[in-house]
Amino acid sequence: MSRGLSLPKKTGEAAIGFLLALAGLWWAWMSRAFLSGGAPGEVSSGVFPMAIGLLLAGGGMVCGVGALMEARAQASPEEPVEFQAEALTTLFATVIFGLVFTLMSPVLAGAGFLAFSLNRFGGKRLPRACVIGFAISLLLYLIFDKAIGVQLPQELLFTLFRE
Amino acid sequence: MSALDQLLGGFIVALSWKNLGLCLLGCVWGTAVGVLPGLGPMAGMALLLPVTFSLDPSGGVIMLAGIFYGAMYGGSTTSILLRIPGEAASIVTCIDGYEMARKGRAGAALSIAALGSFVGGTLSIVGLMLFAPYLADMMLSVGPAAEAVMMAVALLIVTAVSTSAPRKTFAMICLGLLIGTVGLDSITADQRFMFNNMALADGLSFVALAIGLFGLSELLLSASDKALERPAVPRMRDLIPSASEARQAIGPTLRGSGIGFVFGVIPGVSHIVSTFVSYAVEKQISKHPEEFGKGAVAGLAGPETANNATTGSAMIPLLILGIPAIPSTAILLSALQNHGVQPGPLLLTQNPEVFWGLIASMYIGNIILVALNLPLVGIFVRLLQTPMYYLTPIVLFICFVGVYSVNGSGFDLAVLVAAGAVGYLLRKFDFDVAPALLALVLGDRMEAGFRRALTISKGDYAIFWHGPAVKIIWLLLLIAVIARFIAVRKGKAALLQN
Repeated sequence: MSRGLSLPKKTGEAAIGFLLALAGLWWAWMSRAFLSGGAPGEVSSGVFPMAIGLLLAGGGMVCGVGALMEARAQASPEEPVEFQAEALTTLFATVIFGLVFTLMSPVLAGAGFLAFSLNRFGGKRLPRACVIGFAISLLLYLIFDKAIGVQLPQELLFTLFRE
Repeated sequence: MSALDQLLGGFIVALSWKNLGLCLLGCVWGTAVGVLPGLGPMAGMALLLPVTFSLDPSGGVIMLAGIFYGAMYGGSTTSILLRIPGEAASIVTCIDGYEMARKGRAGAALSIAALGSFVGGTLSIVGLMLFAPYLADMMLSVGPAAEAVMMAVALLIVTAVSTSAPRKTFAMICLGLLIGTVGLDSITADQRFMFNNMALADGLSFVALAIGLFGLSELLLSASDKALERPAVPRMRDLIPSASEARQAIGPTLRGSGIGFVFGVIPGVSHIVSTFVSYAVEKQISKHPEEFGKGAVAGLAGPETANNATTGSAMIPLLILGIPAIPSTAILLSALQNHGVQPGPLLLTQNPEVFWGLIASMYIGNIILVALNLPLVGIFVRLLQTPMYYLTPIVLFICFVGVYSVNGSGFDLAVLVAAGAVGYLLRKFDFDVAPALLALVLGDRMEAGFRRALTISKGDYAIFWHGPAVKIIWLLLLIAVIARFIAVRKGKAALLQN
């Protein structure tokens, strides 16, 4: 499989820490709108989120600064964190799967994802991957929809057949 | 009614065909996710959480508890046969369990682990049964300030004893609490952080977040994993330990039960730490410490028992205080709350069938697991050969079905994908996402207790450190942190020597 992305570990940790700090500050800022509400003598609904937002800002800053200091203290180059191509491809395919699952057909979404996975990661030939994918996806749909009775999006294939 | 009568009532609930089937399903699914590296009890429970919404509360919680302790059992199988811990609490099992397998005693090691797990699990349920009613009586006198402090202390203990850096755990807890503030305020009905989206009125879906952070992110993390080679599976007749091995296992099994029970009550990563502590204790008191790391029976029996003993005692804070001590029990809490059942001191009087039904089912589940695991070990090991290119799309389909089935909402699916991507990124950089989920579950009650207490005290924050109950809770934090600090250091030192 091809290579994915890689990021220096401590730099990534610091970036996440600072992002969390920013999110905390933003949350605390937004909480001001709820500070004036509530009945007399009651604590308003903005106090708790503001406190948590400020705590997250503090915690995020400590994470970010701590990671940067650790990176500076290291003698050797930073250890990289690999984001494998398989994971990134799977994430992208998951987004498409989600759209097809919700808007069109759970069976087709499952069949497509299985066929893609079998073909790309399992090395199966596309026609075979499609047949296996469709069979497994249909089976899963029937188990959840018919046997267990779970609520699922409308299935385009069945609607077409009925019409 | 005496506890024994109530337990009999619980057995009537647990032994109904439906609940027995759900217990069996939970145990089998739990063992399977315990065997598969990466997919631990948390992801296993999160995946089947939506299924429980169509069940009655007793049935739902019986199935989820079955997954919880089933995964603890299953984790030992791959540790012993392949030196791959199926879940984090089985790391210590790898040391002597795998060495026993290399010496041709894989069958005996599997049996000792299974029987130790059975004894540890069963004794901890007895402890749960004995202590829970007394603790519930005590808890009825606790006010809102003590309740809020208790939640905060539970989260602080999680921070102090986390396996990842405390600063990262603290940030994750704040993130979980922050996400928990989204939605209509339960007291003033203010629309907090909803951005005019009514789909957020009840907050972000817990199911979507749990499955995203644990299920989907796990799939992304293991996307490039290859299927493992099938190890040699011991024959049935090899499963019986020798008389000497059985004698060596008795003491560590009993001590492991005690250690696991005590640690299970403490919030945090108790099931993992208890195994390290048990290993350290066994090595300390052994007449042959040099055998540890080379296939010592005590080094396998103690930690494996302690691991399973935490499953019973972890239910005490959940069922009696409403505080999930470990992330897996947060899923149980969510399942109960979805049915309108609030765990806490009143659970025993308001929903005795849930409490006693769960206890009875845990006795039954432990027997099912011993009966299932040993003869079917070959089948569970074969699961390891399932290639990821089959497993990923199938588990993904189940994730989506599970989340969609709760509210029929496409927005929840977007939350699922976003949580999966964020969880993947955070876990790549060693941010443990489990504390965020614990905080998300506790956030509502913590805020309500905090605000009620401040209303009573007319805004005086001293209410959070005055009063005997509050002081005892703060003291418990101090004791727990010191005790766990010493215990973890000792446990790690013993392991490092191997």
